[in-house]
Amino acid sequence: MGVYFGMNRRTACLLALALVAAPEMSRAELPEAPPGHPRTKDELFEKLATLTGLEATFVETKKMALLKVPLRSEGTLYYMRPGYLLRQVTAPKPSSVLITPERLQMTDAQGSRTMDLRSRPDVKLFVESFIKVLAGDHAALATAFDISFTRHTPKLGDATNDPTSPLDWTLTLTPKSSPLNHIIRRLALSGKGYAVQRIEVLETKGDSSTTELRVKSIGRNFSPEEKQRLFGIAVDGAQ
Amino acid sequence: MAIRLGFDLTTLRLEANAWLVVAATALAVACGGARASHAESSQAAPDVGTLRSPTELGGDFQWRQQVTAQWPSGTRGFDAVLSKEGNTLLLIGLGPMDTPGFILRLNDEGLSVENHTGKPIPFDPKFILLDVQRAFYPWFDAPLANGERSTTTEGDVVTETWSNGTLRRRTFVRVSGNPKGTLDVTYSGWSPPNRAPKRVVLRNGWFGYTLTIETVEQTDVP
Repeated sequence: MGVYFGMNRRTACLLALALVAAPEMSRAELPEAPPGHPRTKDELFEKLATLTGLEATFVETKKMALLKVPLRSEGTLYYMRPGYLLRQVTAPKPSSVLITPERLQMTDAQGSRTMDLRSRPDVKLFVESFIKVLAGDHAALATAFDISFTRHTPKLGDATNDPTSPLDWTLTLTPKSSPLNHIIRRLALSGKGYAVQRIEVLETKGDSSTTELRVKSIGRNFSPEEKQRLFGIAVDGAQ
Repeated sequence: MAIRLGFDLTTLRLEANAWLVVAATALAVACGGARASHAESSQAAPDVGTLRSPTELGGDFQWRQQVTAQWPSGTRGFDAVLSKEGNTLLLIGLGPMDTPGFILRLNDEGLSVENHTGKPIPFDPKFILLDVQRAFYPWFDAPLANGERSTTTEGDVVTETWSNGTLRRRTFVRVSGNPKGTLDVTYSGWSPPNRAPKRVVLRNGWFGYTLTIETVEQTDVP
């Protein structure tokens, strides 16, 4: 269940503020983390930068101020270094969004529409923000976002490999400037170990979405056939 | 970003093709912009009905729908949420990632429009909600087990065909004869206790387009 789910907007905003405002502890102050658990932002980004790929199922819950019932969708995410992300929605109806270094492609029952991201740097910045996190590209993110890292100290007796135990950390991205800061108030990614397991987007108008990820394969490698089928990369490397 | 819509808005009678323009607007939401003209909005539209209070729809609900509009030269689709809460009816056109593109709100104060597409909405929203009304509002006091029945209301001759306690077809013919033709709505995929059928096809013979409305999720709101 997402952070915002079941809370009213005021509570959610206060929590968001608390997350953004939480000071990052210095390395010296940190208690020892279990192996495979990042203690700092740098450790997280260093590890993410080695990630070859990812496959995860997801459930997204979008809360809109206008609607009593959140909109829910589910599907599968595929990420491949250096900058490919496919979001395949399976319910309530099939659709997909593919992001490559060059383009954004949306496909549904009506067909496909493609946007050349090279001609839209503003859109590119927004759609690639999650990719940049997965790629561990701190430098790219830092040009557009204030980045804060909060480590959630495990309580005594926590089974750190238990998937139901609390998340280890939250990385909060707050847009620095227009146009992003007119669209989203913050983007927060939380994880366990080095796996992102929750993505929260809080929009400036109060709407929010929470995506819960269940990682099926971290460090996923894709076969040439999968690269073509999922990301549109031809065997010879041309798109 | 300029995109090709597959048809030229400036050649369309805007009022007559409101849903098509909505589809185009949804596409504009999807792609960040669209060629669109406001020029036709001043054209006089034939009187094709009066919006009724959302309270006539009964209990509150939220339906997630996929709308496909077909006209002689093309097809477009978009996602939407139709919500009724108290005396308010909302139709929200969604872009990718369920982002609201436009919002039509009907309540006691009338009809209002919010547009987040970044472009003017070049249509009269009333015509969209009139299609919603003809498809989903009740037009008789009680359901029928089997058979056909007709009534004259709101300037329309309304005829319904029922089978095994479910509505199969509804037609509207203007008493005035203007516009000519029949607006024909067919229903399929009833699945009690759902309040909306899975699929509604509205063939607007007055203005020459077809809407296929698939309700992919429906929730009764307490």
